[in-house]
Amino acid sequence: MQDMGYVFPNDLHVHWNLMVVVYPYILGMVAGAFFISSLSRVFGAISLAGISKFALIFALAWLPFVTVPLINHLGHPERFMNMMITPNFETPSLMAGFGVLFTLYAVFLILEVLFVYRYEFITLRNRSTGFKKSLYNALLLGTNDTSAQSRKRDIRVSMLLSSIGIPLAALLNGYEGFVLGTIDANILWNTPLMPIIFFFSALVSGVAGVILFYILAKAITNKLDDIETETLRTLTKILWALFAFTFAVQMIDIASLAYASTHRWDLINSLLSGPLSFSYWTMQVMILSIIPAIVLAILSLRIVSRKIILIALPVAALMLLAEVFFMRWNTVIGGQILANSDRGFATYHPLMFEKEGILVSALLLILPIVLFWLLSKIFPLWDTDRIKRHITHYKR
Amino acid sequence: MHWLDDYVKRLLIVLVVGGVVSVVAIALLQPSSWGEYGNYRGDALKDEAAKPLVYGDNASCVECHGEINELARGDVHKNISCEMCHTPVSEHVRDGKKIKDALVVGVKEQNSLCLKCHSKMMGRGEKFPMVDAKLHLEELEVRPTSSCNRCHTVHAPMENINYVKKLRELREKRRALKEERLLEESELRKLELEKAKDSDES
Amino acid sequence: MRVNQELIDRDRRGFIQSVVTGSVGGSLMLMIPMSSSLGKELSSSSSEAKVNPINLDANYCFMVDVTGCIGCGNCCVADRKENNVPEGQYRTWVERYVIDIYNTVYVDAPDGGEKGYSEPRTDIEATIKEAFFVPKLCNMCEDPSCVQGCPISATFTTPDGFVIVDSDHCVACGYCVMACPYGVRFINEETKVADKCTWCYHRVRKGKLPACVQACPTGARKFGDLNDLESEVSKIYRSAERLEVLKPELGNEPTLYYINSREEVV
Repeated sequence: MQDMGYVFPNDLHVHWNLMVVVYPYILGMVAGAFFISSLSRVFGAISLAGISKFALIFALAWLPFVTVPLINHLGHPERFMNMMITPNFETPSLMAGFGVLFTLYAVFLILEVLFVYRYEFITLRNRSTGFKKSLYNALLLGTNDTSAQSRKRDIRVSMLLSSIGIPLAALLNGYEGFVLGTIDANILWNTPLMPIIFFFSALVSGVAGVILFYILAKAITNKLDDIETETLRTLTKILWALFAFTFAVQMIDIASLAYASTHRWDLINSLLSGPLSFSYWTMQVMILSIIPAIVLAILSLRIVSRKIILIALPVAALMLLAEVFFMRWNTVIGGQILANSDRGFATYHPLMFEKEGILVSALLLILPIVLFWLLSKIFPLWDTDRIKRHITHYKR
Repeated sequence: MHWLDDYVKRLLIVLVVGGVVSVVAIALLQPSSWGEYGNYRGDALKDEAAKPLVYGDNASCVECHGEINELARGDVHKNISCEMCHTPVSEHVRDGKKIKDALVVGVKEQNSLCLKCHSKMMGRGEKFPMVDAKLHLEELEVRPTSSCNRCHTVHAPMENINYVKKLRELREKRRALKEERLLEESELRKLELEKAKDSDES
Repeated sequence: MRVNQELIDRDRRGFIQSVVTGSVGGSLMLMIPMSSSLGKELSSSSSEAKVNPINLDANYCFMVDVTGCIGCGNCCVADRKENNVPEGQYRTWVERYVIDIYNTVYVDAPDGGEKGYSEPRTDIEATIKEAFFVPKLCNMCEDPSCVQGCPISATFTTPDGFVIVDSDHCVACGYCVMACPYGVRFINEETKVADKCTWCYHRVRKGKLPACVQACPTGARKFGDLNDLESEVSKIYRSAERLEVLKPELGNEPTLYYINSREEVV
């Protein structure tokens, strides 16, 4: 049978568009940043203590934007509350479960922020006036407890929340992959590796995002020297390990398909070597995976100087951010381009100014950064010493 | 419990109140007919079932136009949907009154309607009657502008054809009979002549 | 198709009640011989025909005879009008398969086959071996992935086995469009909700055939109740005729059967 380019008449264009590419990307940023933030609290990684608060607020900044692309994508956005009012747990629907999981995760993340910052809020409230003062007061729920006992409690509770939050984040992102991976109609998506690929690529994008913006923020405020070399080295290793694993799983998926060379591979190969050849092989695999993997491998060795790390690490992080975006694109869009008729390809060309177009997507990726900047006015990002003291205190 | 201080207590109150309010709100917002038949809006099923018909069926047409049905009975088009050529009944009759004349198909449209099914095409099966319209008219030496209806009255397309066929058949029969008789007569005459000859000779 | 005793009971009660109150006149008229004037009244209001109670004893099925289809497109025209489907979107369509002597398969469906196939394909150089037409519509699966995945139960299987969409509740997330392996679902451009072939549920509940079946001149589309032993589909189902469903490996258990289908059809 030869491919003669026939697509079912309702499937000429893809339906899950840029919004569905952007959404797991944002969700991944939340998860990855939360993961980095939790490492020092849960596993006592002292070298990451300095970035813990930064990463936590970074995660918080992306959180409100997770559902925005999804709601924007709905044909009836005004009905989105139906997801909460009549969730289908009977058959059950995976998507319905997402609403509950995400709400739970959001509550955990907000609670985490509250407990990490509670003690600091008290001093900040005393120092500020007007709106800010009442805001801090509201966040403190009107309490004013500076006792050592309460501070110890803060650390314990935030640790507990983190240790539940990490698996929850894994579940949420893995779940996203599970939603795609269980759609048996789609031969590109339908693989049990999908949850693993989605979770780890989420971590990669989040960690890369934190690294990039951490170094950028320090550079902008002229405080590059404040960054501890040990923090940089640990971040490099984490990013490298996470990415190496993610890339390996993706390649194993493709390689085993290719070697088994069933009809399914013929179809997937026609996609990867056809409409996706540039965005998959050239961009995602060759340029955006192999190059940063090599760079990170070299940086992880202890022979590279701090100066080079400070330049090469953000570049590699940026490339990996792009890699994850390409991966989401190739998965979400690619899976739909490979039409159900098994005989042709659907098309998708996003427009700049449409409701679910390029401009809106770009805004969705820029607005969290703006929100992050706003949040940094309320939640102080830098106080290495105190966290370090807390950890060492707790360890004792 | 030493950790249950004011802050945690107030936080718990906020969470519990928030949770209860959401649960109550969700319960209140649930559509009233939810769960009537299953885990979905029962009214949705009723609404779907109550959607108005656009097409009726041939029985709806026969009520007033029984003669056409009578005409088609026994012919190949007896099961064709009237509304496919004459537009849906809901555009013709509403609330027991005629609101618009049903479409009477003109010559040009008629031919294309016929050829939609009967033009010669691969994939239509060998038993299905197909024509190459141009060729068909040429072969029969009919004017190329003739409509299908001229010979194949659309409601009973084989009626005239069968009539003509029968006529031809009968004519053939008659001719054959006549020839036979003529032959018989000539043979009889021959015999008589021979008889006469014989008697003459004797 | 599941039969729920409670539902049957409730439905019977409802039916008897509506007969008493006179809202199920049509059903009674089937039993009582009617005068011609009464008949006229009935037909004239046929577009507002009465809705019959849910028939839980029926096991509806749809059959498509591939060799019977002549690609006239009448079914698609009727479907669009009956269900008010926007141009460019399809609840049902007819595909043309053409196979050349090198066994290359060419498939097309310009305008979903709605305008009919009165012209042969001209873009094929090799000699054509054979051709056939395949009508497509909702497979009305017994284990539908679209219903399974709908986050808000806006699409569901009715007690009599039809998969339909609640257009007042659907948010158009598009999961069902992704989950359907047969491509029969789409987001309606006008209503902005998921839309699909319902086997004309509103017609069936009024005792009529689906519009496409009604429109088919060759009887290639067949609809009926498998439990009704006199129905054509039931006779075919019990005969030696080979019935096939599309993509059986996906386990959706379609109740749309193809007769004389080919392996090239997906």
